[in-house]
Amino acid sequence: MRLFLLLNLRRLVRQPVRTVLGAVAAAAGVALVVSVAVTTTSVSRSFADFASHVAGPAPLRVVGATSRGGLDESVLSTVERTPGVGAAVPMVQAVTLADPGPGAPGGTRTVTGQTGSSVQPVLAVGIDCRAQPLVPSLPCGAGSALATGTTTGPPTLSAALLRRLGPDGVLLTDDGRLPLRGAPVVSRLDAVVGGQVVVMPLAQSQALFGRSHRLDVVYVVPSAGTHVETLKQRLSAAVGPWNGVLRSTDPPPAATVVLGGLVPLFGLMGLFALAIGAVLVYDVIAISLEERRLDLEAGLMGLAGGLLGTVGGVALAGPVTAGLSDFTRRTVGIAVTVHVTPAPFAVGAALGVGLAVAAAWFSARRALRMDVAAELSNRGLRDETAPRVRWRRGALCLGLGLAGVALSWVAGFHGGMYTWQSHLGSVALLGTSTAFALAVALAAPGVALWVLRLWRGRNASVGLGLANLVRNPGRTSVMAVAVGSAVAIAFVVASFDLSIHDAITSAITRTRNQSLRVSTTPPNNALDIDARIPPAVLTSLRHLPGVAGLESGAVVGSGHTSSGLIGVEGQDDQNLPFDVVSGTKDLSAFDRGQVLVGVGLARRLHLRAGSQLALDTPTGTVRVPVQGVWLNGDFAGGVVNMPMSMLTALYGPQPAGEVALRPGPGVTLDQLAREVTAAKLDPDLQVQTPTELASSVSTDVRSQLAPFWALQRGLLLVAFVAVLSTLLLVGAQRRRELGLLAAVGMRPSELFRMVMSEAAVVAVIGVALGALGAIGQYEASHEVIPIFIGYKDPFRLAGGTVVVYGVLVTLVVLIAAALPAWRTSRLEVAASLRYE
Amino acid sequence: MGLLRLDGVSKRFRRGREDVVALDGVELEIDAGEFVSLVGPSGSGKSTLLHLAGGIDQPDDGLVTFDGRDLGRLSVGERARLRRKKIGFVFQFFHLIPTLTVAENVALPLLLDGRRADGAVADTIAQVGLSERARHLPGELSGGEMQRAAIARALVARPRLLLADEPTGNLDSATGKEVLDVLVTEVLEVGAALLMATHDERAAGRAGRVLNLRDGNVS
Repeated sequence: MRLFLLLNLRRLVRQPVRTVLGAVAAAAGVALVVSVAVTTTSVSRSFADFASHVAGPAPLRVVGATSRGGLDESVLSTVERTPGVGAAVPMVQAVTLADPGPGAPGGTRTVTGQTGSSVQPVLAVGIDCRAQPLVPSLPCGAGSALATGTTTGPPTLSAALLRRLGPDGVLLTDDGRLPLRGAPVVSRLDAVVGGQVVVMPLAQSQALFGRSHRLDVVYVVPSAGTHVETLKQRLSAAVGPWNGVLRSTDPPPAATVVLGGLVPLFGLMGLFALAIGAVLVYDVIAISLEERRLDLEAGLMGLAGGLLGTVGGVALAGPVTAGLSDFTRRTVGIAVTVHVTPAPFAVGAALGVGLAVAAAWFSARRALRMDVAAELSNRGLRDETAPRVRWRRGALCLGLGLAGVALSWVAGFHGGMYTWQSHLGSVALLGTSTAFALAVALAAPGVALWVLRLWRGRNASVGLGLANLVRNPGRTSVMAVAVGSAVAIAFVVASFDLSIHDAITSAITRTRNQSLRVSTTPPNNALDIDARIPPAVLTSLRHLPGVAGLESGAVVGSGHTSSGLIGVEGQDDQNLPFDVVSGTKDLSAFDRGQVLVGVGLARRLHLRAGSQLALDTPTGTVRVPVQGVWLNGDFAGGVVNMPMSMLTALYGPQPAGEVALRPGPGVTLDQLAREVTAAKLDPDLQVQTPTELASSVSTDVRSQLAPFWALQRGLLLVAFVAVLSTLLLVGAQRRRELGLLAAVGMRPSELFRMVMSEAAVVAVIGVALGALGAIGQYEASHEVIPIFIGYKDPFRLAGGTVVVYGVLVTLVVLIAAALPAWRTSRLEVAASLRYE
Repeated sequence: MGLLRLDGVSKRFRRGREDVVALDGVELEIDAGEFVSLVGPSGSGKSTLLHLAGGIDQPDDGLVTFDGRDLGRLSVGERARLRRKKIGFVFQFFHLIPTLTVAENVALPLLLDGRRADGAVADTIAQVGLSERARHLPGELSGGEMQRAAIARALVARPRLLLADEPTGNLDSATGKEVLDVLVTEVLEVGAALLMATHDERAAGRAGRVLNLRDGNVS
């Protein structure tokens, strides 16, 4: 065995270029899959870390019907009375903002949407001495703040937060600004959510964050000998179905919503890269196969590639995770950091080995089935002479792709409000992506042949480069697909980017063009941020000169599981802006309490006009009548809209995060904005005209595309590896032929030009076909998008992106081709002809 | 002065840990229009000598002079340019580009040189008797036809020296004779010199001069 291993290692060392190529090809395929695995692990580990710091030994937590103050205080005594409960620890976990003082160090992360501000999300934890079972070292001596339940004074800070905010930092609350000067500092808090945390007495947190007689969570420590699962069942029965009993490590439902949408799409891209990697590894292995047995050799090469790809995947997970973290910090106050465990390395290594061994197996199978007589009669030459351009198969794939687009249209009809449409949409999207990718693969060699025919009689180096592309259609296809997919993803993401911008601008200027937005929180994804407008500021706003009216709205996240999360939106204004796909949007019926639901919610709960929607509230489950289903994309369509008065009746008074100020007669929006700013009511008060609001919301929503852009960079890397490895291998295979070309008078510069031409042509073909395929891909995505986000953005094509990314990808390809071209130009002619 | 001169040319290779002397002070002169055969056992250095004569390799010692120019003083690119203008190569394995037609393969040296190829290519293809096959791809040709196409490629630029390395080694005897007829006839017609390495005694016997290469020396 040792000898066998040694011999294989020696073979690998003797063919360093092929070994490195095989390993890099495997790595390129593995990297994207590993990045998805690392991102998923990072999210769950970040929440588990948070739970371990906050919940300590408590394995269970009771949560309410809403994410903010969803538990009625009376639930605490119910929990305490449940048999098997050793300790019940009530807690407030408010996500708010902190404003650095003038002496704070620069470079802090800003909260998106607050231009020029350096406010940062902070988790404000409210506890009292009942938390001692979780944190035995709590200062609960007589007269301590936690013991007395004081509602004044600064909270306790982490040392890290003090460093970030400086001595004059301020905590924003629903009741106004709370100076942090002189606040006690506890270094151990640095370990909790990266130190972005403050701790205060429970009563103070209830007062400051609008949770009168309300709690966010009750942690439960079982009494000795009580089985956790048994206790969970007892608690579920005791607290009622509108409340939830979760494991302490279960992530908050709002945080998992974004991950649930992203992971399948990322996974699809990862599988795509894996397929390209497999073909590249197959190419590497196929060269040497006739000579020897490759099982172990391929395995070792795959292992190296898998580990290399894992490192790349971990690096790629960084920006992807950062994009997610921006969202989770604002929704639940928990940052997601990259957690690298041994698992991704094991997965990466296994994928690399599996990929390489499978490629070796296919190569071996092909060699075993080889027609020896045909080989000896120079079949290879004839195959290369008349490479099969599979136009029919290409046309079939194109047809399948177009059929996929048609099915996508069916899936997205009426916003995809039926369950079958959701399944159909996923299948159609996957089928369309695959069909168009195959169509590009099958068409690329044919296009190269067409270009070759046009080129005949012109520059010989370029002509030979084109001939090389034609004679190996499989390799040309792989390079073209790798190049095309990088451009296609960029094109699709940029088109959505443009579409989102136009949709938001259009919606805001259409529905809010007569008012100013005034707020202390970011305009988007600020559902759970407790830095609302203080009541005194609201009163002042109402009485400012030029103000004709002030309308407010509120949003509540209802539900304690990610699949049961419902966004409940209440509004004062009389706008019902979205298109109805079923039923009506009658304003008088709306005012009477007949609600409108998003398509996501309609699909999930099978709601139609006339249905009754069951909503969990802090005091029980209530049923509300549905008058229609509409395309409201908040909460990815899992949303219900009702009058503000109805929301208040169901969920209690809600502090206003933002209000709409209507100017009086003769007062323009700009004049009113100047008036509000000049009044200096609150340093954190933002005033935005409709145009400014559209811009900031659009910027924020578009920033959520960042993970897709990160993966697009990953596909650029795959394109680089595909071109580099393919051209190096082709150079190795055609060594004698290249020697002959040099012998008949081809200069080194011309050999260099030949390889670079090959790369340039495949880049242009890949870009062109990729862009064409991307139009179909975007159309399919555009049709099914309401299923995923509950809203249909306008159809926009970012044509400029094709130019920008086409040039970028072409540059990447040319850089990748430079090494093979240089090696070809430095060919030792006599050595390459020595067999003659 | 001869068209091609080798003065004290030596070439050594490293094989594993051992130095192998392929050529050891070879002296050789070939005039324009002369047909010289080079015979010798396998590994005697025939191919090495052709490579040095064609400037695709450099000697360790000695001088290779072609048409009055010391090849050792030319750059790689200059030697390549010289080959495509004045030196033709024919190999045992024809090495035609499979996706190019016969005519396109033959035109290659002219296209590399930036010259128009139409008339010369058609004439050369006709000379080797492949006019009917001009638009065919290499995979559609027999072995003899492929070698004739390779000869046409070597002749199309009207070279002054043709270097042929076992041109009939991959063909049956009848086809080999046919190909050799074409080669000798056409080379002599254009007034070029032909240096042919071969194992085939009958082929070698058609040359005006037969050189025997043994132990790195020509006799």
